[in-house]
Amino acid sequence: MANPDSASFQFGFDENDQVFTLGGSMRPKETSEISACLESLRACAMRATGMFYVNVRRLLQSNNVAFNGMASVLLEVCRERPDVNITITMSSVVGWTPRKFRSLQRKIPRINVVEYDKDFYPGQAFVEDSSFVSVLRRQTTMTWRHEKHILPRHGIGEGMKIADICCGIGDFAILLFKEFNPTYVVALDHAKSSLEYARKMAKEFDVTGVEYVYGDAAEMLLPNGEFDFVTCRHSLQVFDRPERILSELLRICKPGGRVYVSNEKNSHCLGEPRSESIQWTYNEVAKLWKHFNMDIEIGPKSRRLLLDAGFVDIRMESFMVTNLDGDPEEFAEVVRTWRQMFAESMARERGDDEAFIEKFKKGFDDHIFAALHPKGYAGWPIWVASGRKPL
Amino acid sequence: MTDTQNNSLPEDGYDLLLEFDLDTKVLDDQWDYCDYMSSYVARMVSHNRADPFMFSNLLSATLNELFETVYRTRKEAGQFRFQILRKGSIDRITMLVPCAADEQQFYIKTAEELGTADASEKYLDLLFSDEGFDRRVGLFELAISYKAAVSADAVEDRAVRLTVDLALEPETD
Ligand SMILES: C[S@@+](CC[C@H](N)C(=O)[O-])C[C@H]1O[C@@H](n2cnc3c(N)ncnc32)[C@H](O)[C@@H]1O
Repeated sequence: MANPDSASFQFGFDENDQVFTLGGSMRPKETSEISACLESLRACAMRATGMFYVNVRRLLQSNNVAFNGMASVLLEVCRERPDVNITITMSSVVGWTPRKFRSLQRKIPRINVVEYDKDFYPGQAFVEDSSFVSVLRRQTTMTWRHEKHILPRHGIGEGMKIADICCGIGDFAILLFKEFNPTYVVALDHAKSSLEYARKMAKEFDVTGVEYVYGDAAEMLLPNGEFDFVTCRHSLQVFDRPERILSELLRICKPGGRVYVSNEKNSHCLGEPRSESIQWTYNEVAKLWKHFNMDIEIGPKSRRLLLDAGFVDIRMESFMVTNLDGDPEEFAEVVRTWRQMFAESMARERGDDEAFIEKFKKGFDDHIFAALHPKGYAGWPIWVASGRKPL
Repeated sequence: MTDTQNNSLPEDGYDLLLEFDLDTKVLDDQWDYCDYMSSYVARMVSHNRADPFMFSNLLSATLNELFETVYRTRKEAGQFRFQILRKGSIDRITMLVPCAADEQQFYIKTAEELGTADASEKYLDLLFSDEGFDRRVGLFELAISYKAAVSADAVEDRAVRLTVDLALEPETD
């Protein structure tokens, strides 16, 4: 589907999954102006078997003329094909849809209306948890010391339009804003608690040039080719299909602009002393994420992912956040929150026994021990990569 | 426009965000203007709301219903005036539509219907009507679905003034 910002609309049918998709903006004066679309909807629904889906996740606008036309077709289908079950999938991001389609459901209770939401992503419940906020905040403080110097090598400059996708609590967007003087920054995430925190923080720091937007990275409502520089940090790893996000990042990037991603390879976290226990635990972290269909090992795969997505001129480098960068206590605190999240929430959710969880926690404790040890060294490696969108 | 003194002044502590006048003839000819105007206004006044994208989507949807209703009004020659004002979480939209008595009555009567006990039911009937399009649906939608306060007043015998107060964003601290 081309430009979600355009006044026109698009429709199409996926025979395989029996999904009829409507997108764009439908504001006809008369129903006859959209008759091709309505006819197609009717025809597809009439020959469907079992479940028939209508996807309006990207239907940015529809006036009552169009809505009434759609509803009449669906009413007719319900009458003539009592054996077909109709499900409408909408997105909470497109504000007008929930109230309107709920009305439709009141009118025709047989129609199933679902909000496309958290359940679609593995592990979404973990990352949308508000306790996650404190980890993110500390992590950004530590990575920013490095990235501040790295970003210019990946093409960031002054006066750009920047998007930070999966912005978390929005601190990176504020740092970008202060450091690189962009025209504006759009920061998008799907966790309402994080966005709320982000807006509060922006207010606190009196930053007005960052727009925090609720959205779904896999299906964004931002226009095509809008941004000079698009960032997506530590987030490809929370999706089961990162290539879908990358194609969206590519779409919103201006031709000639660059997309910048950063990712981890957690099994490469390290520390001395007690290196073996540390290594064991972080290897287990990688397996644990895999269990939830997420890949915390993506870091070195970034180059391939960017190339496969269609980017050119890939630049890639890595850096190590260590206990020597700043206050070692800061490093220790991040590992404490990892221990909490990985060993307490995620491992328990997987159903691991006490013995495993104890051993698993031990590695985090040893990592903390290494970080705070007067002669110790503790590290967390990150890979950053960027690619240019071809002209 | 000079003869609508009391329409151009922000009242009750409202700030005027944007206003424009448009020849009713232009409006009669151009259906597409409804879409343009609602998209433009929504974009212009949404940036300082907590979630500009969401806000602008909702505002554009509601404005478009209003503009389409005005489009479908038999208008008299003159200037259509649009204003959007703001006080805290409330956005107030006012529209001055030059029209004759019967059209004044359409707005005034519809606004009264919005307050009746069966207004919700009536909204659904209009929304899913199979007897063709009923132009009251837009105002019903604003009142029922968006919980807007809608009122209409005759301005002498030459126009109707529509006022819509909308709170599109849940209030945060
Ligand atoms: C590991 S965090 C990284 C946050 C931030 N970039 C940082 O580095 O601090 C992953 C983020 O992706 C967000 N996220 C997950 N699924 C999303 C989706 N479908 N659309 C947008 N954001 C999503 C989560 O809410 C979370 O804030």
